[in-house]
Amino acid sequence: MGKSLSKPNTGRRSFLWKAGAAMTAAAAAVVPGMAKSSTGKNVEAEMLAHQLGMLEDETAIRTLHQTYEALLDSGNYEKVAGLFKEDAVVVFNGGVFEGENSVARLYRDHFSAGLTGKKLGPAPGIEAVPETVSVAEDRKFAKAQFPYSIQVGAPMLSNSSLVQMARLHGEGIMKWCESGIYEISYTKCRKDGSWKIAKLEYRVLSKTDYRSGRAYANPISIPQFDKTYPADATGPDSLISQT
Amino acid sequence: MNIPMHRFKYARLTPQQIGEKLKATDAGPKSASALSDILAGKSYKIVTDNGPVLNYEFTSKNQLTLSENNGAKIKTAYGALTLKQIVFFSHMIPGTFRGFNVFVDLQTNLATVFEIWLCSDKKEFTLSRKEVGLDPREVQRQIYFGYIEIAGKEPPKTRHTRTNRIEGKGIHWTQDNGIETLELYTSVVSSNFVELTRHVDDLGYCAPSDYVLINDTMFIYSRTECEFSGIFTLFVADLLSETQAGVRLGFNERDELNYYMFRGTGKVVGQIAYLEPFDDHGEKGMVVQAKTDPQAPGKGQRLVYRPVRDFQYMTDEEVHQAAMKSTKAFSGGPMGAPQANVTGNNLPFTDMLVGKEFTLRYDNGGPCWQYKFTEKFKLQYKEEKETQWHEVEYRAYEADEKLAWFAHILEDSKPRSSVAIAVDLLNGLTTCIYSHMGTKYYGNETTYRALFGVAEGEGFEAPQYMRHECTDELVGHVFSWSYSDQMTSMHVYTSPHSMTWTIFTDNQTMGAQWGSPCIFVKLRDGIYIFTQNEEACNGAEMIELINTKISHDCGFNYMGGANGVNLGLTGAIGRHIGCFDIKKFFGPKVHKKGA
Repeated sequence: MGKSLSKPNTGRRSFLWKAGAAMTAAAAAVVPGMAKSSTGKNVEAEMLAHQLGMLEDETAIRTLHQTYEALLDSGNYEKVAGLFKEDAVVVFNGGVFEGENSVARLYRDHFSAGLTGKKLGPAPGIEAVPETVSVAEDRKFAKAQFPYSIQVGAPMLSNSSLVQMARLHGEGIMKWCESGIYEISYTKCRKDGSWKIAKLEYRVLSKTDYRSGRAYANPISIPQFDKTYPADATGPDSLISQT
Repeated sequence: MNIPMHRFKYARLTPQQIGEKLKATDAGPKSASALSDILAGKSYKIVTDNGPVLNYEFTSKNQLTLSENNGAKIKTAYGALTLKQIVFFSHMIPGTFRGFNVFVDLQTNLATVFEIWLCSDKKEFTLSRKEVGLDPREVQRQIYFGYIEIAGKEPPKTRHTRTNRIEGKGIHWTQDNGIETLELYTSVVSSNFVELTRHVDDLGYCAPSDYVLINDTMFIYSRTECEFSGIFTLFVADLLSETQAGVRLGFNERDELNYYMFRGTGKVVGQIAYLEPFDDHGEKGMVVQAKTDPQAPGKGQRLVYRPVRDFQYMTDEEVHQAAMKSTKAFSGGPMGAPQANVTGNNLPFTDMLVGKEFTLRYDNGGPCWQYKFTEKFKLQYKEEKETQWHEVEYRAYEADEKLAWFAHILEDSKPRSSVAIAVDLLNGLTTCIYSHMGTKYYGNETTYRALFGVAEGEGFEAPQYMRHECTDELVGHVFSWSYSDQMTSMHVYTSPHSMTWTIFTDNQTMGAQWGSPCIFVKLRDGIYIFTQNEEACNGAEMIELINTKISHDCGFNYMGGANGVNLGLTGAIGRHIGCFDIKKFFGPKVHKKGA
């Protein structure tokens, strides 16, 4: 994979820094008298154009990730699967979801049932981790790490009247706060040059009972997937222990 | 009426039958009190937000013309009542299933419109994704907030709003027609009501409700008796003068049309705490959020719990066959749910009975069981006349000082039965909640009764005459019960024979409700057995011992169905949310019934 264009955990400042670099590159491209390669092309201009392209890719990837988070945060689960490659892989809570249908099952069925993905926290005492984006030199692949802190939920299994009534409110869900890192691989679509998620892994750093408005959080233990699809109607294709 | 509303088989009237009966509304609503002529000769243009523009001309005290959205004028009869500065008028539209009920605030020129209709063709999905059509007799409603347009005047910037300011209040109302109703507004989307004059059993029921704030002293309330007769009650109330003016529209249990306006006088009977954040004033309606949820938003959308639609009828024999395959004790929560949801806050089990032997003799020829407690979770029992002992699993709590509270399955029983037994080791009194599968309505509902008696054995000197007894001491009290950090329900003990439970939403606003008959038994001061069966719901029984000294309950649940029969555990931390002063409204001779 190519060199990292990111500085750790710099957020908006990082973007401004790169925007400045891009402008510099663009300006350089129009400066006369720069060196030419043996093919007659302007080497520095090519380099700068390449660098500009890399920066554009990085921006596109960040935008893609923002879209991913926004769709989850707003409960727009139906649209999330559209951000993935057809043969994409998602690793979540001890389960592996492979391919278009499985990824759709994860977000459309499993995440939506638990209202998973709503932005939370981070919980008190949980430190944010740095984000990085690395675009390959050939600009066809990229890798990124983004921190996350989200609500994760699982429907309560009971059919008691209490749980049924809670479901009428769109609730009846065991909720917890999960913080960690998204480890994501991207590939660029040949047709239109857009980026798609090839693999997304939730690397969990903490699971707590934190809810917005609370000043404290206690670690909690949440069972991982223990059945695969179709035994678990929203479950994974395989379990981590099997892969 | 002596058939409980949740058991009554309301006729499914056809649209043709309803249309025929609605013809009587062409004459306008009846009223025991004189209707007002305040609108005669006036015209109003009512502009609503996201709703119709209604042009009214009131040609007389009881005739009007209406043009909706500048459409053709229709003529109809109406009735009007005033309450302080509010004029409330009601009318139907001849030849249709529709009508309007309009509250006009003469001080602010604000208006709130309840459009109502019957024979909805709306489909809903139950929680098990079963598509159901609404009963044509169930009155639907849509609320529009707006104002009276006055030429040359800017429209008002404010509106009447939905509110949580009424949440937790209780009012006893007496209408001008003699009907008395106790209404407890213990939710923002529902209410409890006890029909003190129409129903002979004084049972409390729940119904979807709306609450609209007019100002600090006045509010509008609506209730639709969904899953019962479908009848609609709507009124404006003034809390300072404790008066109301409203309308009732729909079909009663005899399928007779009710379309009348009423005045009433009331008495606030209490206010329980409401627990949402202090900056939440309930202005946003509680609607289901996602399109995939059972009741997707749309015109008339409201939060209605329809549990019986998902309840699968089973015969006694079918349930017993399932029980033969699987009868479990203490291995799962309600309907097989993980125990943590319902027992996370339970009291610990006790070994206080280990090594004890005694006989429990219940009155009136009731059962007489001999017990040997061999282990913390194992006991032996037999009927006095039996020769063989049965060994079964049991769980026991020390629910109060030297008060044992334990339960077990009655082995090989048909219908499958369980007992939950309180034995007071200080005085030898005992109460048994004897439960078995099956009611006359469903094989998969439970039936329970309280047996009173005494314990005999070493250390007991049981009374001859004194017994535990049923009590109304909890009536009016309200507790939240947190079974775990994920599950809290609020119980309102609405009458000596009924209760409701309410689910808190995420921010602790009181939401969906349902109710059931129940019994209360007093064991000691502040110590009670409370038992209810979720009738016409899921048939599950809750058998709790409430200790108000520690604000905790502990107990059992009992249920059965296709997966067999299960005696489970439950227990919760309680908070006393308040109390309604309503005991005085109950008792055999308090009211003339059947009005």
